Amino acid sequence: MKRIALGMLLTASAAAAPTCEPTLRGAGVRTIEGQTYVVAWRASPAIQTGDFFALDVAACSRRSNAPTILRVDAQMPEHRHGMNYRPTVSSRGEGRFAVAGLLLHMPGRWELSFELRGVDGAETLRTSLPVP
Amino acid sequence: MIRGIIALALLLLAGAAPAQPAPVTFTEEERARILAHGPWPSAPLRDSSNRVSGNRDAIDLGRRLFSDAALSRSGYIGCVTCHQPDRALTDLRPRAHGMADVDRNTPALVNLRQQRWFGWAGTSDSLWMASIRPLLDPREFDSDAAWIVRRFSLNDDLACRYRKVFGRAPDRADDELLANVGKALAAFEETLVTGRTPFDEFRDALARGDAQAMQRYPAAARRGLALFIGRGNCFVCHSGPNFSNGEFHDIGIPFFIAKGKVDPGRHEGIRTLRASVFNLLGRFNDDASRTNATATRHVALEHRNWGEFRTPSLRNVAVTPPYMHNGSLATLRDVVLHYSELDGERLHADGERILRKLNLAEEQIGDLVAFLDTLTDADGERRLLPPLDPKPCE
Repeated sequence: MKRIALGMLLTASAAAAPTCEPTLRGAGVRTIEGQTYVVAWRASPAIQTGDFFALDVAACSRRSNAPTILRVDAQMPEHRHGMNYRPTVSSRGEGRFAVAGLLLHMPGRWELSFELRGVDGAETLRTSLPVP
Repeated sequence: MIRGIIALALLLLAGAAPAQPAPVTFTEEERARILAHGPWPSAPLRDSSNRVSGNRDAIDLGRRLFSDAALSRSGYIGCVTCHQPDRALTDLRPRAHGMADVDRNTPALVNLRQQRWFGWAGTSDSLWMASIRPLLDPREFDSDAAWIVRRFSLNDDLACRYRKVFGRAPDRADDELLANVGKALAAFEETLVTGRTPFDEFRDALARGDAQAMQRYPAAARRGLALFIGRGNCFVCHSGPNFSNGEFHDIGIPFFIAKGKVDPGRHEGIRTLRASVFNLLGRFNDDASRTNATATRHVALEHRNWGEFRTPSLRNVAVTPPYMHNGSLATLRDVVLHYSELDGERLHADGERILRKLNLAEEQIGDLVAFLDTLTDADGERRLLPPLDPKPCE
């Protein structure tokens, strides 16, 4: 009985993935969880078709250090096109980034992607974004 | 007996009452799409890049310059030559003609404050920059700063008005003079707006749930609207209160101008914009923060931009034929037929995939045209310019 309990405890420990919590919380923050990284982001102003917006982004690594490089893009998969503008990314250190110059020029379903790179490798996290 | 007579009377009255038409209904998604095309008019905005935007004296100066053919080297080309007040501020020609044929159709000069980019290729990022371009084009005004200085030197009243607006005499043939002339023209052009339309009345009735008012909208236009926001997918590019997303697309209209000559469209527009001293990243932007230059700062130049042209607004579209960047489609019916019979092979190979052949029935084509007709305001093609104040400048 004790051996069974110990075996179950060891199995449970191996299955639980390490967690991390990005340093961005509060109203309007959305989170995407990947295998390696977790990213939280908030748009300002709120996303409206045809208006520029910026992103406040925080990312952490489930393994060790936060990613140091971020690339953000957006596509409309059904329409096979992206944005007409190239956003700029500024690193604030410790997994924090400011992204400027995003504009979603059509209503419909967009896919926002965050390409993260760091000592723990590269990973692209995506999220679906319906824009009215 | 009396009860029978009353019953009969009631029956007759019920029969005499006009049958109520079926209520107009939309799904929540359709309703949201329709409401997104308003309200109209939009709140007037001042252009932060133009310090004389909204300035009454600048508007007056711009109004005078708009009609002044002496700004052109020939002496007979003015803004009104192509932007004719009795022709919806366009010229009804496939392609504009000044001193020579221009490659593209004359856009109607209305509702310009709604735009982020100007010109079919978005060569300009402000209205004042767009107002400078034709002055310097040898096919249009064929003018330059020196010629404009000369023009002012021959007209004391005009020179006085310039001094009043800009605080200095128009006597230096430099880029600042050109920027100021562009800004005065833009201050006036911003005042050219279209009014409310039958569609706006319907849209607002829908917003407030006024079924009776909604019934006044023609049935054919309603069916056309349903296509516009539904199967036709028109609303995706012709979005918002001004019926344009203000961006650039390849819609399968050939971009060949003549044998051996193509119109690069947005691709050249971006390159020309970036090279110009008059763009919003330059010193003539009156907003020192440059927050109004975000679009110019971030615009991406891509191969697919070849042959892309700006989505025009559909407000008053019925009175601004012919259509497309090269004026190649004579009527609205031709435009709808273009989308109905679209040849996907003509679209850019690495471009977007929004359009598809619609295969519309004849009645559906008529319905879409009927809908587009309801985007016309009461003045239609008559855009009378305000009269000039005869009082001389002091």
